[in-house]
Amino acid sequence: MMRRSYSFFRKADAMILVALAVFCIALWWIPIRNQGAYAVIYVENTVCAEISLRTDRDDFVVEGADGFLFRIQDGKIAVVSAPCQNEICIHSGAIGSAGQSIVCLPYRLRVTVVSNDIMPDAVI
Amino acid sequence: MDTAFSVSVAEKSQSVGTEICSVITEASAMFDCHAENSSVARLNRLGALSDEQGFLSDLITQTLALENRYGTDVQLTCRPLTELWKIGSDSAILPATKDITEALPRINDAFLSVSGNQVTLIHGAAIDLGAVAKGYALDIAADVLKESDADYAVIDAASAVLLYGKKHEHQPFLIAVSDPNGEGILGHLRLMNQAPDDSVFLSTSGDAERFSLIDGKKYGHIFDLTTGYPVETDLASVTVVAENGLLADFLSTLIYMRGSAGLPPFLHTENFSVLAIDKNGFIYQSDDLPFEVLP
Repeated sequence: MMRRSYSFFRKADAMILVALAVFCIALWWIPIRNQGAYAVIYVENTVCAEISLRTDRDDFVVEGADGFLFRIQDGKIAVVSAPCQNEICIHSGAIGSAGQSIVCLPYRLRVTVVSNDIMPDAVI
Repeated sequence: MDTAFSVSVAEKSQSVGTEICSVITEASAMFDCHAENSSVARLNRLGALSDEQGFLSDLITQTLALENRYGTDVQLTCRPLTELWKIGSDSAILPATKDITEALPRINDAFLSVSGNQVTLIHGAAIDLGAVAKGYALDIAADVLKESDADYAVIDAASAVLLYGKKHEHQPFLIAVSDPNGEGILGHLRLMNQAPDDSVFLSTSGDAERFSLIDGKKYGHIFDLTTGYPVETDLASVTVVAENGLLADFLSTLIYMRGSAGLPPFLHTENFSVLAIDKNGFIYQSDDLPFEVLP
């Protein structure tokens, strides 16, 4: 009599599980890659500072961005004090993802988070 | 100048990229001492050359001026040594001491002179432009870009890079710096030009990529012109960032040769910045250099 053997865990199942695992890891990894690594502070479209977001910094000033106080906490940067009345930049809160910006129009200040994972223009 | 160049140009017309490629190819044909029909090879054979285009004579004149200013650690008449050792080629050898001793008296840039477009070599001297040719070729490319409508460009000659113009939305140029003591990237330089037609040049010298193993021992391609042997230095690599390609190329070699002991006067200057990494991984850098080490 011919007997058919049944396996609970076939090769194809294992491959699907591996693919699912890779997909889950990718889902977890992609947001990390998009986390901004540093902030660029511009005034009048001129770069005043490029600051890593990896290290927390209590209220600090940046040369060229007079009157503003910044804070870096948990990989995010925020404007905590500003010289203008409306304080929109303060109410923008903390930003930490690549591409996010805080803008103060009256003082032409812009804080942009830039990803560290962008491709370099050259390797030397 | 046996180097592959990569040219990336953001431009409104398509012609400038092609023009730069042809300018660099032409420079390679002129400056490569290994190519039989190059201007340099002919000069070395004949002892004199009328340089019609003026590039070779200009390169030599500028380099001699740099030697006057910074020192003669780097000399163009080093060809007798590079020819002897052939470092970086399949036929690299450890030369006999006698051959090295005989080559040394021929190395002296006082034997090289330029008068107008006439270049002359005396006392059996011969030149090798390996320390400066790439930087000068990038200077020529920058001149082409200035005349073009290109917004920005990156010309990468492996150990020498030209960053021209301003990237869109005020993004800085991002240059990954290789770890000379290991594999991978040590950190990033973020560089921006002030004006739309400004250029910044980077040049790196070291023995991480160009060397030969002879009898199991590693020999670098940069020579101590007083001993005739590859230079002994505690530095693994030196990168110079400057507004002139020839200056960056020349100084990266010279500073590398002098080692960490010779670094201090070069770290605080106005017309160039330095990033040096020693063989233990210690980093020396000019204060104004926007270099960020990767964690």
